[in-house]
Amino acid sequence: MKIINTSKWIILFSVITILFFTACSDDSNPVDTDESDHDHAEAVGLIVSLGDQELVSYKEGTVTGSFAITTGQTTDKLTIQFIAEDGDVFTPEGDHYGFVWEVGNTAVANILQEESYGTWEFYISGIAAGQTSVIFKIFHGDHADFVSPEISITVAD
Amino acid sequence: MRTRLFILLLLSTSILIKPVYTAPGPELPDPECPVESSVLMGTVRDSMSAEPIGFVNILLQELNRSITTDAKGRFVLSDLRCGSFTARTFRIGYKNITFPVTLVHKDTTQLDIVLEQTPLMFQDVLVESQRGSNDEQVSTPIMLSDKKLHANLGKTIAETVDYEPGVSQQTMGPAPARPVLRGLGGARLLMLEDANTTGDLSATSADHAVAIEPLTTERIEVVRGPKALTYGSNTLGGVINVVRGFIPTTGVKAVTGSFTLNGETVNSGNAVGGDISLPAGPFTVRLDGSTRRAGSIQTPAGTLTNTGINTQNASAGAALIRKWGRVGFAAGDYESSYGIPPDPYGGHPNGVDINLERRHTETLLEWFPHQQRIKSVNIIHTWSRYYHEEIEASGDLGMNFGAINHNLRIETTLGSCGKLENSKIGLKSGYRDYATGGLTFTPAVQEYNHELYFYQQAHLGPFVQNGAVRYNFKSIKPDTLYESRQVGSVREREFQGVAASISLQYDYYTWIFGGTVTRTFMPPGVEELFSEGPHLAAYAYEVGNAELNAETGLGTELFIKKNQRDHSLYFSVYQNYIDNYLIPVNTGEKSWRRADLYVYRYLGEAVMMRGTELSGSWLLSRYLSLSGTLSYVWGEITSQHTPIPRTPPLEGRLALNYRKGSFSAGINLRAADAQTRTGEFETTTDGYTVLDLSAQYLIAAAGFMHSISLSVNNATDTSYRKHLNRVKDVMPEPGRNVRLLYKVFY
Repeated sequence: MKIINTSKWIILFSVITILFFTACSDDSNPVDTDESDHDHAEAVGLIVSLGDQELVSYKEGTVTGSFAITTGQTTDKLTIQFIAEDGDVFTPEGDHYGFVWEVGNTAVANILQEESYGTWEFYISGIAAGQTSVIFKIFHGDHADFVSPEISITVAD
Repeated sequence: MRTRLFILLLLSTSILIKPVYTAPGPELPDPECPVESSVLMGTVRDSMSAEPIGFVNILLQELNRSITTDAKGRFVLSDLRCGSFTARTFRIGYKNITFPVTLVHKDTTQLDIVLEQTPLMFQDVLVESQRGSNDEQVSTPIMLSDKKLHANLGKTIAETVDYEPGVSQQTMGPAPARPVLRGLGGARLLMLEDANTTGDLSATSADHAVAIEPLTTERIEVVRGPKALTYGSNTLGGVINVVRGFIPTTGVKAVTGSFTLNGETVNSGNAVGGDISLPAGPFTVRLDGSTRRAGSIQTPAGTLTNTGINTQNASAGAALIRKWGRVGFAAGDYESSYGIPPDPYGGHPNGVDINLERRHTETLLEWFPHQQRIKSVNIIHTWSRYYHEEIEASGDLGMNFGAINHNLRIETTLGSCGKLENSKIGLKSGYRDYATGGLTFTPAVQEYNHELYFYQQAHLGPFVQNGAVRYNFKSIKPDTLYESRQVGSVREREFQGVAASISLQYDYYTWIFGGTVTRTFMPPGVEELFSEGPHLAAYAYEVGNAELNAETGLGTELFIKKNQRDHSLYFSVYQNYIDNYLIPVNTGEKSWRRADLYVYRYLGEAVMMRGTELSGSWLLSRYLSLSGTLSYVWGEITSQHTPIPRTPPLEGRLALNYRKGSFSAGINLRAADAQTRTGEFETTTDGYTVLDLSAQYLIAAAGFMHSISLSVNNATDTSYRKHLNRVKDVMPEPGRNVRLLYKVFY
């Protein structure tokens, strides 16, 4: 039984087809995963070194080593590097990354940078005998991409 | 035991469906209803004054055709197919009525409809499913249209429906708000626009907004029970369908439409919107648009900063409407920028700005084949492109999300067969391309969804029975396959399952008794399966679980209902058992990436929820009525003996309403009990009582109907906190808000 004649069906089909393809012309996902949208430091660990000597590391959820200095002294320049999920060691690059640290008790020890230092270099100053800790962070914009556990600092007389 | 019950349900439903689909034969033309079109025309008058009533919306349910009366109360609906249908009326200030209409071929059916004014507020809302049958009382007790929608019109859909029994809203500032039905929110509650999925990501996180503008909404339906399974398989909470009418449902011979102005003091907000329908050759064209601007919310404790909204919304649709059916197309764009308030407790110490955009199209072919066995065939394709970015206070991109959605739905409404009526069989296929960027480690995925459903209704003596079955297949294919230490094997996952629901209703004099048993099925989403990243608002580092299975629920409900001229009553009790309830659970381990956060891994837990809802209204005098609602839900993770997080407390409302002629006014008390049953990291909230005032005046003149609504929410500027507000620890709810809404229909 013919409800609609053939020409009407053709018109209808054409309209729907045109509209369908018009609608789908912009069918690419607005988030391009090939671009650098994932521009975040994907660190899962860290290594703090004094020259070639590894002082402290945080690998696979475990902290190995600690910082130890004496009152009134400062360490030499220390360098912090980070460990990616695949085990690669890297240093974050770009102005959008910031190095942030939180010392538990700055009356015992403090972390400082000299003007000549790079972003990921620092030294520790022993202020008074005692025990404290530091947390290192990679800041990206308004949030931390990476937050370390507390790493012990011991200041002896 | 549950499996046996489910099999029994399936059998009972399949037995009832069987006669329809096992009676093959040639497609016979309906001898009573050949191709020639019919016309429905008439007038609508006031029962007391006999004056004509303009701007009455008359809907023929089965045909999905509607018309609005002119200023002289006249209407003409042409190009209709003949047959028996259900007609409904909607008009501010008048009782909605439902009645049968029989259209004879090549003839005009004349109707003289008489409407009665009513001061009973609930008469505007306590009706059945809009798309359902007249007998389907079980489906839903809620629908917002006309007066109720105007009086409660909020900035979001969730705020608009928040006053209904059993409905709460989960918020994170005024813009990102999503309804919660009977304690079930997120992906457990379907939110649809014109019965289609919106393609937004509001179900995945509390800070994601629903991409639907309420200002140009025609009406909002809440659907439960078997009928809800025609929309999706995960409907234990129900379905909220926002009817926008993008594609015109009826031809117009003159320009019609509406224009709305809205202003409020609590955020110095204003909104302007309108819609227009006009004839364009053989087509009917509909355009709508709106813009909304608001500043930060004022509370009794100060300003909740960074909570401004700036939203633009526009759509255009056209339809060719003939006696054989309808073909139409619509396209729209929704853009919104809004703020997430600074929350030092919740991980956004300086707030976040969110920009989202949703483009969408809808193509529809509706065909009435004039066959005895097939009443109508609907083919609907929807496409949407969604983008959402979160900008931190520093100006850097925090996260972004993108999704492309295609959905194709083919639904056939079958003719009556014996005791069976309104049977529907449908097929839905969907595709989603989903990708994320920024500080989230969720892989891009392609999702495929195929669903097949049946719905039918039967009259069995004094009983009305509704049943539905829905089969769901879902496939999630990550773009990259890899082994994740935390998530597991990121690979293609496939899920399939069956949802079913059956309800029975018995009419005893003026009372209606009923019950529903529903089994639901919800496959996990990409976030539950493969996501990995900090969820600062939850103090958690959430990781997916690639081995998760689908969530299934078994819900039972019993209800009593009475709807009389001078009073109405609705009471229900329900229980929902959810097996494999997908929820992040603390593993007790610190994240390697964020050692300040514990790792929460998605697991499937057994959950029990029980609740009750009560609502009623009483006509105290000719002009005065009293109405009230009460709802409570209790939930527990049974495997842990701990409360389900973010469960609303005992809530209620009491309203005294005065209505005389075109004027109405009301005093409304909203109250909630304290909520002390909380999940981990969730704070308790105190009880509260809040006073709202409202008044509305209607003026019909010179072919226009003007509606002016003035309301004062939280009139006493009470400081109170809602339990489901994610920033309740930062600031209380909004303070006193004077809101003016003007709407003109033409």
